[in-house]
Amino acid sequence: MDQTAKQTTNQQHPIGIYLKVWALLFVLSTLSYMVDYFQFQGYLRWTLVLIFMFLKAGFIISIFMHLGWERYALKCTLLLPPLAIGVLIWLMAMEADYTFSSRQLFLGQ
Amino acid sequence: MALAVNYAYQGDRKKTFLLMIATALLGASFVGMQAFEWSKLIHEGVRPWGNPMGATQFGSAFFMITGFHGIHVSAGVIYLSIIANRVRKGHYEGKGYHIVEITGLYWHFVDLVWVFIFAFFYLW
Repeated sequence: MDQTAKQTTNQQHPIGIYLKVWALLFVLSTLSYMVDYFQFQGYLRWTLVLIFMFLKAGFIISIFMHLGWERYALKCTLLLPPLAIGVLIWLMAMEADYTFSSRQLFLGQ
Repeated sequence: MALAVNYAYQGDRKKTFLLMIATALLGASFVGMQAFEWSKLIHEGVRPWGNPMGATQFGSAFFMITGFHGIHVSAGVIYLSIIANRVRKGHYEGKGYHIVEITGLYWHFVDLVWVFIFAFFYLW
């Protein structure tokens, strides 16, 4: 087994970081619950919900699933395809909105 | 679970076993709460084909997505218990404890999916 394989298969990290991240996930969950509790509406609500969601997802992936300590090539392999799919979904949604609005404009009544 | 992976690599079988069982118990209580929520919603008239409070699609999407997630959590609880018991018996001595890491990855992925479900279904 070569050196890089050894490094990626036998990782040791301090226990403390897991407990800290765990506590942090609880804090983030509480904050996202607060968004609902204080009845934030409109763009503020979506932005806060999405920020807390991506923060939590990021911590789970990078710390609990160890992606943060992996090689750059592996990070790209795992993260780029979903990103590409996300961009495609976004483009399709834009196209759909445009088609819908132009239909309303020209075929409505 | 993450701690169990750590202790497994240190070869601490007892701690790994206890932490995995704790994870499985938390997972089982999650499924229990989910069952409670489902029965409450069904009681209020929400069905996979209908929703008295709003869009019909909510019923089908909600039950299918949380249902699939719940199935995966239930399977994860069984999976965790099996692996934890094997760790306790010393089944992986000499073979290495990568299996605990694999179980952890499965478990955290199911958790990751829940982060998105929670944001989109419960907060949106």
